[in-house]
Amino acid sequence: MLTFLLILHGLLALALLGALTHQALAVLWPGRKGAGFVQSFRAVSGGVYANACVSLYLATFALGAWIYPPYRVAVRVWIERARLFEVSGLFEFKEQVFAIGLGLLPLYWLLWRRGQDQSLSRARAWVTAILCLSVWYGLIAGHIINNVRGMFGA
Amino acid sequence: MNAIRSAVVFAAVWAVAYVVSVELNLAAFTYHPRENLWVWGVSAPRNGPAMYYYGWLATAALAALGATVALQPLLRRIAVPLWLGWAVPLFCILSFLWFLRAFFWR
Repeated sequence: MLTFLLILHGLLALALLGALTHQALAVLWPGRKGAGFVQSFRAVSGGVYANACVSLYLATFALGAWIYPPYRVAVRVWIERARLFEVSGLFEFKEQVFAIGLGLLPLYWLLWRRGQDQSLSRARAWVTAILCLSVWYGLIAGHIINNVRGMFGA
Repeated sequence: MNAIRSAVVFAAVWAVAYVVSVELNLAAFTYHPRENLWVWGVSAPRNGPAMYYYGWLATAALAALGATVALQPLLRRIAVPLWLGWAVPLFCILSFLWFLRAFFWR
């Protein structure tokens, strides 16, 4: 069951990563539709992703919080015994980044709800970029921690 | 616009309150995973590690909600700079690199 939830957590994070990356690129580096893969990737309508991003963030966070205790009891103990303090630090930073990101969600949602308001465009770009980078970091750090025994077990 | 101002205050206070809550360990409650036990406030580890994360989140949420509600009369009259809503959380995220430096530099 725990493995299933962990994989689900990863898949939700991956979906969130895709949605936020589309949105962040659309707002920071807009592209034209139908002008190749990279341009098309950037040419999405960012606003339509907002509800999905908030839902995915909350679901991923909730699932992560649900499976956190087994990590704290078993995995982190193993990591510390193996003296892999950098790996433990990656997770510590991840949990703090996502906790702060949680508080950003209402602002993020409201900024995208008023997607046509140009006076909010700078704040919209910053908030989206912060959340996007957080999710990129979280996915990479989570992937390393998930594979810690395979990567550093020897 | 008042909703945006409220969300700016909420995001900024949440971030600062969370950092303070973590650094001073002001968890609203503690979870003891080995015993599956929830205890109000900060409780020392027993029969295994104590988890303060959920309590820190609750503290940050209460502080952010309280500040946002308390500042409502002020928010109707004063224009809160939008950048506070992203700059303060960004600074708080980066501050954790400093607080967690012991994990990376030994």
